[in-house]
Amino acid sequence: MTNRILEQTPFLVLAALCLGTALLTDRFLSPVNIGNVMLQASVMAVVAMGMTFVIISGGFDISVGSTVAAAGCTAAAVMLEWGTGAGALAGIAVGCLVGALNGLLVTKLDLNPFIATLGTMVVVRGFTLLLTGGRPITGEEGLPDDFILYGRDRFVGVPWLTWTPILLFVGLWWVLHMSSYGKRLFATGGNREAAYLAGINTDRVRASAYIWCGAMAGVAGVMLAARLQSGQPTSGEFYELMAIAAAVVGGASLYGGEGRLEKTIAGVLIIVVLGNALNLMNVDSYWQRIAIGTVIVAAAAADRWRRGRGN
Amino acid sequence: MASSPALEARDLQKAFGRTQALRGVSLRLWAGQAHGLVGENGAGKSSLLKIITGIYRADSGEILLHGELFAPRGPMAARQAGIALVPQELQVVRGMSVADNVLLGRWPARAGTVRPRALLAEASQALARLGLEIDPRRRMSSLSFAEAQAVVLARELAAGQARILILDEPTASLERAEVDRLFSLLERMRGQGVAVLFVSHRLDEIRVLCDEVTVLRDGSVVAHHARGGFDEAELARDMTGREMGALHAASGRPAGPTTISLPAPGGAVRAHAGRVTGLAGLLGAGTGPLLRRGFSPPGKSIAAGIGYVPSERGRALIPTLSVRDNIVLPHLDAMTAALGRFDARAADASVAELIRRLDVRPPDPSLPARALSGGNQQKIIFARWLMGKFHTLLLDEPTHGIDVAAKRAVLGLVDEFARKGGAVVFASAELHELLALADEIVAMRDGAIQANMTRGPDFTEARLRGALGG
Repeated sequence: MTNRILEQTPFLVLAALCLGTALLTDRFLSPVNIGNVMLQASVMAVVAMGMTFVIISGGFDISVGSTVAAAGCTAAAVMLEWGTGAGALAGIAVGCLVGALNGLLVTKLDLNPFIATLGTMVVVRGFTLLLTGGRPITGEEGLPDDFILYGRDRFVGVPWLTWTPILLFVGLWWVLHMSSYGKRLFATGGNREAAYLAGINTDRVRASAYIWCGAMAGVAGVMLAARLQSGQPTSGEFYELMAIAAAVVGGASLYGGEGRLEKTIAGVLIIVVLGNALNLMNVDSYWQRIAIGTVIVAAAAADRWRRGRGN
Repeated sequence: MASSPALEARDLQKAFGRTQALRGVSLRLWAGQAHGLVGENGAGKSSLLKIITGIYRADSGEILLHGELFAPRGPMAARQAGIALVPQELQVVRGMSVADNVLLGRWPARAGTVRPRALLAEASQALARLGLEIDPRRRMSSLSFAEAQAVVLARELAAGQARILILDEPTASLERAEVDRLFSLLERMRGQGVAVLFVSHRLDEIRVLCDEVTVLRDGSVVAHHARGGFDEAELARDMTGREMGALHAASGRPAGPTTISLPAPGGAVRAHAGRVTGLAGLLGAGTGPLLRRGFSPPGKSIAAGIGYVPSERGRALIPTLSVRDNIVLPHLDAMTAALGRFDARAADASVAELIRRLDVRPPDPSLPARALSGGNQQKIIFARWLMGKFHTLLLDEPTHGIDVAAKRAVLGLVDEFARKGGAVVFASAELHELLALADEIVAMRDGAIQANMTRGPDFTEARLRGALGG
């Protein structure tokens, strides 16, 4: 019984956080603020969902922040020449490419995921700054109108930028928790040798997780470009840390083999709402970092404690 | 014999959630005597050891150490009180020297600087006390398992002037000669007045070594015998609570065609439909790698109808995945519906039948595999290959480290598989298992095939031992 309640910790924490904030400040539930929270959570949610795939596979990807910037700049640049659709696809393709590179480094060269993606993180950021000259990409008359609308408009009261992770969530949740591929991913992360001995091509599975992650970082890059109405070569910093933190706060195991997509979303919302709450209560932004860091450590500690109890 | 026991446990109780691990266990260890502790997996042996060594605290009951009440606050306290534990998985620092490991954390130092000469001298002394001839300057990683175990023994005894020595399954990874060496070491300890608590699945060892034996079942002491007052069959009956018949005798299985041939220097190991081919070899004889090579790459072998059970469950089981998912893992392609959907209903249906047939406990396919005992985990690994059309099984020490009842169950499964026309190669260091089950036995030493014997008048342990050089 207690275990079943502990399983729901991320949702309970999120509910308590929302309730507490709503009681402390009436501005929290105002439509404007809720819209803000959703917008802030949207880009992060997409990155964190991709990260969840890699973490479940037993890996780690710290290159996603750089990928977000590279994808956003690529999307903006291509869009100015060939239109919105081509630009968005190009941005996502860049993400897939970086993901494939990470996958190859981790499986074929058997590099430690931390080191391999640290390398791509720096290299991808370097290329982005080099090709843009460090300047934002906006074009002389700005990015195409439909793209700007995507970053600004709403559909049935919800921003398009928020619809994106909602739709992706449905598809990714199915892949992760309902498909045979999902089983292979969990098996590979839970015990790679055992998965291999059960006939699973573990290299392919692991590499695919990095491609999912890169693709999601690509989508997030396009979304961010729409929100900022430009491709920003310095954007996306710390996204990798926030995404990993969200997955961990949501209960994913950094040892691999464990995680739930809906809990990662709860983790994203916990981090965003916490920041928002402190903002509304006029807490110094430096304190916000301290608070979020504390939550991450607390989540990891709670996970250890739960595991220790379980056995 | 001293007036009070070196250690006495009285009516220990311990529960984990709803599971009652110990239901009032009492135990006495006497100085200079060896006490055997046996029981099936999950009988409460580990819980008892962990309470005595201060890792857990009992819910009720008490422990007396040399007649005085003893409630260790943690493993360090128990160690300082003279209780030493040699766990199944050795805790050593492989990158350091033997001397460093013998005095781990207690290196002789002056002003924060380790004194290398004193370190070597003290370590040598500790090793000599056990009559060990291991150079203390060697790197720990260069030692064999048996040597490393001896070093841990020396460390544990040196650390707290141990009066009580607990060994958890110390012989599970040892060759026969090494077991003999360990036993003479323990004999020496007993001569020095140390009380030994010896936990083992190998009942013949208990009979040879121990002055008395306590049998645990479902958290209670169900039997207690003094030396000479028990035999292996009796212990097995005490442990399982039922009469065990003889091992499955191989007979009446007609030989079919060869399904797979594993080449090795000196010949080849062949599996025949309807037959069990025993593969005998001591640790390091090369039987494990031979089987592993026969299952390569796994994906292709599985498609060709060959299954493989590695010697360590940890290499085959995915602890985070459910029992059901662990079983269907090699069959995912067959369990995949349109759009790549995992067909959970088909998986549930095929797994339910297997769980019933193999008597997996608890019979809940949604539990994570890590929640099950070792014997039941082994059944899950077997269940994988009993599903679908597998004609050949390569089994590497499939009864290693599981209790008597689970062992019988596994041997029964192997026999049944062969009777239904399957081919089995069964590697084991336990020769009586092979002699009882196999139709032919191939003996290996140093990676090469030494002998090949078929069932007949010459099918004896003596001849097998000769071939193995053990």
